[in-house]
Amino acid sequence: MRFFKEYKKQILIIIVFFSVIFSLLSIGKSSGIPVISELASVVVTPIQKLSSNTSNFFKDKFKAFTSTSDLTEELDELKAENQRLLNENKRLALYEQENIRLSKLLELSQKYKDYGTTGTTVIGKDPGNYFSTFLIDKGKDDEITSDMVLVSEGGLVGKITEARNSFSKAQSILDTKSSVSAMSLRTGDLGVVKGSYSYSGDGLCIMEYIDSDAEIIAGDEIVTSNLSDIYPPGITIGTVKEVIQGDNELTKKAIIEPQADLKHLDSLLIIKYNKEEAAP
Amino acid sequence: MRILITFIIVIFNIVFESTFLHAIQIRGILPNTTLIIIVSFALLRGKYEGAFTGFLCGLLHDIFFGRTKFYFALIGLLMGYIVGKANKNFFRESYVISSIVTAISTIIFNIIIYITNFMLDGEIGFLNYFIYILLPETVYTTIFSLIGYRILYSINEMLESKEQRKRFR
Repeated sequence: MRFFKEYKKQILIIIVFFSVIFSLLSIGKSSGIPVISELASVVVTPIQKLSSNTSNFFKDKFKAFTSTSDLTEELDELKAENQRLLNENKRLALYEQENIRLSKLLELSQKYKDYGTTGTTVIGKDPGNYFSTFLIDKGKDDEITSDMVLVSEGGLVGKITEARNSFSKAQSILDTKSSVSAMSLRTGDLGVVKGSYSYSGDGLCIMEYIDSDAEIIAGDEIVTSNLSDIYPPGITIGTVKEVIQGDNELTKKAIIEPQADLKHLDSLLIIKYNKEEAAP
Repeated sequence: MRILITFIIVIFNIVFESTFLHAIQIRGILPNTTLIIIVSFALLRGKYEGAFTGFLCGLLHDIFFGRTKFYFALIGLLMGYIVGKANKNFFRESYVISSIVTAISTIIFNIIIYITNFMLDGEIGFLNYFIYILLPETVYTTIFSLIGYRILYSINEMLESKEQRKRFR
């Protein structure tokens, strides 16, 4: 103990020196500090799980008190929709069988495959106001690797950036460092969906590099394109809210309203998609 | 004893920050409780303990949310050290001084982050950054620091009286 008291200044300088070196070395890499990371995660992750579960529990309880009439109304609507979806599902199953039969006949491979999925829960969100990263409660132990894709309510949420043993770090599409190759479902125009500071406060993101001739209008559905290495094609991102002219006359921008409620993430679905496996 | 309690406070902070605090965000802006803890420790205990606490808080943030390791740790260490230099010059009982120091250090903290992260990126201009992030965060953090500083002050008082009793025995 006396050793620390005597050489305070020297210890401080050494820590600063090593921090600078390590931070410069680790820029852009997603590998952790092995020993300290695992140790910290063993201590913190269980508490985090408990605390986010408790806060969700109370949120649900309060919701039940405040909106009983809304809930019964919603239940009726959902029942009707469920009935409708069941009918549709039967019809689509027939189509699928027909599709398989016909593509066997033509010797085509399936374009839209079923991917394996796992459910997961958000256990912590970035406390800073600059980035939109969060933690989920599945990790390497559940065969999760980085670059797997997260969806919620049928809309794209983001991707996993770093998988550790018992938890993973994920990046939402609202993050300014995230970019997703996207296309308009109606017209097939390509673009890149990015996070933006001016809009992320309202839970919106922006689609850039759209061709100026593109006939994209408000209300169009935006899905992931088949150009991406990470995101499987055909996942809904959101709908166009407004189209604005870019800085030059060559490109347009579109403000996108994401389908998933990115400001209140709770339970998510991980899509186990791997480009190398998927490629024929 | 003191080291143990510091660890507990820091771990509690990262859990609290990443879970419960999101329930009271206003338009996506959260108060920076990490900075409140660093400033309080530095004001109450001096530059070395401030630097140590800042390093610990930043390191945990880096492990769980950071993309560059030791980045927030370094900023936290610097903030703790700089604020801790003022430790001898101020009355620690004063609410006013603690909140002014918190406000100033939030601004410095955010400007460091802006320079190292966003200035060369071109994604957001300084004026936008100032209006959308820096200003609301400073106001929110300063209000929160009134509560946070009081809690940490009484914890520190308790520990100090215990240490004094031990010394006189």
